[in-house]
Amino acid sequence: MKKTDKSRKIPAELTYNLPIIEFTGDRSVLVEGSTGVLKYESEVVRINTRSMIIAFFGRGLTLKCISPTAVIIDGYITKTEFLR
Amino acid sequence: MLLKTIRWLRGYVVFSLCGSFPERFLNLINKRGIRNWDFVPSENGYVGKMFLSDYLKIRPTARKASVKLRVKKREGFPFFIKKYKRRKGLLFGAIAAVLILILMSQFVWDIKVVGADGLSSVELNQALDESGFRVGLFKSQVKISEVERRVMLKVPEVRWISINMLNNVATVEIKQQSAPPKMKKKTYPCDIVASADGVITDIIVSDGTCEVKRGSAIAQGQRMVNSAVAIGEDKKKYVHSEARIMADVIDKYTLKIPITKNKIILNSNYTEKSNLKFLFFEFPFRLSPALGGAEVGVTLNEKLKLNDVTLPLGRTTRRSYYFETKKRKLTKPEAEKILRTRLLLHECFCEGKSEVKQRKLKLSQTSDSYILNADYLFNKNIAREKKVRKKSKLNNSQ
Repeated sequence: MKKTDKSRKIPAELTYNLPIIEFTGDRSVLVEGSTGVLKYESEVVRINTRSMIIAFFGRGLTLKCISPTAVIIDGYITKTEFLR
Repeated sequence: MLLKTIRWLRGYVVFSLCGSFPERFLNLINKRGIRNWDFVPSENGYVGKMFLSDYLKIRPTARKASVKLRVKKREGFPFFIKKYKRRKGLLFGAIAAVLILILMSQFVWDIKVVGADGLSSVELNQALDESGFRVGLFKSQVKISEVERRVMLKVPEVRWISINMLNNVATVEIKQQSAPPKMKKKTYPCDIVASADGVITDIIVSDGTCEVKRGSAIAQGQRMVNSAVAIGEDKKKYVHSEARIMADVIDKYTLKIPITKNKIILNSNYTEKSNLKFLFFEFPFRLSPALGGAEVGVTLNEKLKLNDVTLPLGRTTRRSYYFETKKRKLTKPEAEKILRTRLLLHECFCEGKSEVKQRKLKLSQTSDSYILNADYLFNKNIAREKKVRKKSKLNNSQ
């Protein structure tokens, strides 16, 4: 399976349903491929994706924008955790 | 800015949320495609914003997620309308203002004429008016090319005209025709004769045969330059003589004014009639009764301006001043002053090209008038053309 994927050069995020995370310094983060918000507080935000749960820790965290497949979080991000 | 405007037009609510599963509520409304923004944690839960139309749909979702919603603030156009629903006058006023604005922008408010310095503005305005171009006209009705053509036909001094409409102001640009210089016809042979008696002081002959000398006395009508010019032993040709012959000439001039003079005295009384002008309509708004008697009138046109834009609103005021005519006798110094002024005007306009060498004035008085006799010694050009009738063709050799 892996050989086939490599030979066809299909991006890994599509094959394994991995989320795409884009940081802008430590001030903002975009998570594409989210399936919902599990926890939303000013110190911690947990985002559910198909393959894992991502937790962002920091101060003054807010959800700037939420759509069914993407989330933008603003604030001072100090730590990120990936839970499988 | 655009997003804010759209949100304001659709109307939105600021709501607070508290309960057991706010995250679940968030996920559920996201799945239903309901937009919310500025959703931030607060002391007693969360605060967010949502469109009014969406907020009305989320009650069952809130119940499902066991959260309580409370509206904190309402903003936007639907709430603004609701607030002023009872004040219908405001709405009608706003609609009327918009309609008036749209309607008024269809008219010509002002006409500016540019580049017609040497032409009479009254004549130009009249020509424009007769060509169907005036203040208060519908902009769509104006046939600019036709008006331009008509004005050019009516005012021959106009070489080029262009009418530009900028908003509600029409600018008429004009280029004037430059008049061709007057050509002197020199096709006929002529002599130069004296226009007055005198003593010649200077002679400049450019064409013809001179028959007089400097210092010689000359009588009125005497030929000074002959048109016949010898070109051989027995041959001569007739030319158009040209000469400038200066001579000292004695002249007399008499001025007369009556002893009694009518003096016009303006009364302090005046009447005013004012009309309010809107586009080309006029409405009288101030009338005062005529006092009777002789009057002289002044018409004043005032236009309302706002930031250098002439509005189609103005006032035409006609003020009539009343006057009396009183007869009174002129004293000798007064009469002399008046007569001297008139004499100076005569010298300037009738003898402008002559030099006054000597002037003797004598003021006399009769029973009904003052008379000023002026004896002049002018130095002036006395050359005058006299056509030679027999020889009609120039350069006709004999």
